[in-house]
Amino acid sequence: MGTQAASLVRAMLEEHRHVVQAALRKYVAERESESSHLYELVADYPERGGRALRASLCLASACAFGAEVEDAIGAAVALELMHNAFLVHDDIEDGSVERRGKPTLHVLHGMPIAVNVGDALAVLSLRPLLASQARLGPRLTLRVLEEAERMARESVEGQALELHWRDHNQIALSEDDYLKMILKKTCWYTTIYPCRVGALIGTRDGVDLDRFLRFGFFLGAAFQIQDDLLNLTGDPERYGKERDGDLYEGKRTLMLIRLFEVSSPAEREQWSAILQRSRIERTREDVAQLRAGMDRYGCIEHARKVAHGLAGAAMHELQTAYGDLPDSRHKEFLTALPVWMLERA
Amino acid sequence: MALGPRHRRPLLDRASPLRGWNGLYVPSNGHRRAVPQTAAQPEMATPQAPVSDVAPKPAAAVNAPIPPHAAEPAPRVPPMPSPQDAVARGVATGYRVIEEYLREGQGVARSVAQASTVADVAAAFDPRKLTERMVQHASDLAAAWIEYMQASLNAAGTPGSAGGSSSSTAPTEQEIPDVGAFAIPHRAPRAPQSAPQQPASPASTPRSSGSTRPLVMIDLVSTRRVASQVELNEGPLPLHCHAHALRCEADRSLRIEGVTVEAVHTATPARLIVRLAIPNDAQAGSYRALLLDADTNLPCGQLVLELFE
Repeated sequence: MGTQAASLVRAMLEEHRHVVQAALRKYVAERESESSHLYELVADYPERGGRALRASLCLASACAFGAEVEDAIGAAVALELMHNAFLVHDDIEDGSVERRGKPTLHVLHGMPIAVNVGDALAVLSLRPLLASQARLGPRLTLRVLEEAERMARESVEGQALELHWRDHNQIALSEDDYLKMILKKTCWYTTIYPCRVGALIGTRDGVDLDRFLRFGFFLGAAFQIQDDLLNLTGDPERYGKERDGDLYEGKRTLMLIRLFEVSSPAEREQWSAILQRSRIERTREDVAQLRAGMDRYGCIEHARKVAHGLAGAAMHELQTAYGDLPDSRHKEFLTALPVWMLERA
Repeated sequence: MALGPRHRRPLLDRASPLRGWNGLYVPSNGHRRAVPQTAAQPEMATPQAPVSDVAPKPAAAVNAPIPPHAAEPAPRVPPMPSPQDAVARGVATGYRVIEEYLREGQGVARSVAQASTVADVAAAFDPRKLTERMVQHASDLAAAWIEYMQASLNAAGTPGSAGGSSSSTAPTEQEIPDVGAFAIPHRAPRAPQSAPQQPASPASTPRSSGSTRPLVMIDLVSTRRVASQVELNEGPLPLHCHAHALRCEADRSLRIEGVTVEAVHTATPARLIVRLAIPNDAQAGSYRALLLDADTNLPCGQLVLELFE
């Protein structure tokens, strides 16, 4: 069942990615003649070939409720543009050096240009939302914009929380804190918003959107933990980012929080001293120590189990969110996502 | 007869339903699994202390049966798990976080709703604010209406002028020049007077067809050289038209009667046919006649005529 589900998800992701990529190129190309040196860079991250998971989720949610792909394509493209804007800025904030198998934008072109490209991607994401007015009408478009505004707000609040933890070297964190942070930072724009806005379009604003919060949260949380696990254990070629990059960045992952939970006071001091250093000061040996601690205390296995549990809860909540809909490929895709989240490499 | 050993039903792995997330991934041996206490007690810090001795396969985890009570949407209080179980604790924490988030959101929504209700009531009793809102709405509506009308006019076609030459027998048919989709001239620019022609000269041909703008045809009978031009005001072609007599600009008492105008809406584009016959004894000079909407009696254009000796 797992492999079948993963195959279906992969096939539909590929299908949606083509549609979204074509529409996205159109929006970038129509501005390219104005300022080619900007828009060539704007197209850089989107052209590196992400999976378009968020856009696919948005399209699938809309189509599961009976909409046509064209109804939701504007919201899907906008989401993809906003996602890429977040990536550009995240890479700067985290000091990441690799993204989707290539050097990050600020490594290639410097900080000022990369910041501006991130801004351009964020601003450009408004265009497809506004353009969808012709198909959705002004009232529904305004509702989608409201949702987009909330998504962006929740995401930057979550990011601010994580940056604050790192900036102040917060180590007394619990799983509660971690889940609250990723609810805002990751889940809102990765899963909650795509499900909500898809349903909003599919039902022409005829459904209570709170029913998608739980499903989106559990799915997004499982996704984020798996993403953090891949950073430690995945194949860098396929994962597209540097191995142990999160440890170099001092990112507060579930594994790191668990490490602090189960370590002795002396060890905690040792970990804290490592995290106190800036990314440049943090050596390979420091990272190796953290990683060895995680292995010793089973932190990676612990996080994997939590991710499995959250994926199971997502499957349960799927029934509340989409259970009463008639069977369709889109519903199958949504149903298969929790399993795929855990199986992806 | 010797009796063999009595067959007994094998003991079941589990004799009671699963009633909590913490039981989902526990081996079904009929007893709750004893979980090492070390993982939850940081002070002990036993290296390689397993959090759970069962590492669930992904598919097994997510395909685990949902407990019967969990299928009901409310109440959403998570079951109390064994605190040592990573899976159960993760799920319970997840539910706690999302429920708290929802409660906070609902609280904010309630307070906003209450505040806005109070504000709405207050605004309802403020005549000044109410008037301002009404004016704003009326202004928005008027702007939208003007925009709509303008778009409709653009679609229907803009008026223009038609300069033409006289003809003794055949009608003169001319299309209003295209001034672009966004240009609505207040009055179409006057086309340069066409060169005087012999009355018997053949009629000019239409410049193009297929436009939605009205065509103007001048059916003129004269034994003398004449130059004519029709200028239409902006707006659609009236359903019915009529014309005043042509008046000489040099001497207003001189008139040429018998100008008839016909609006034809059955053809596409609509046509305005102007018919007149110039008397042989008419004095040479410039003449003008007002064209009127027969239903409203408002001017819709004018006929300009230059009569030569």
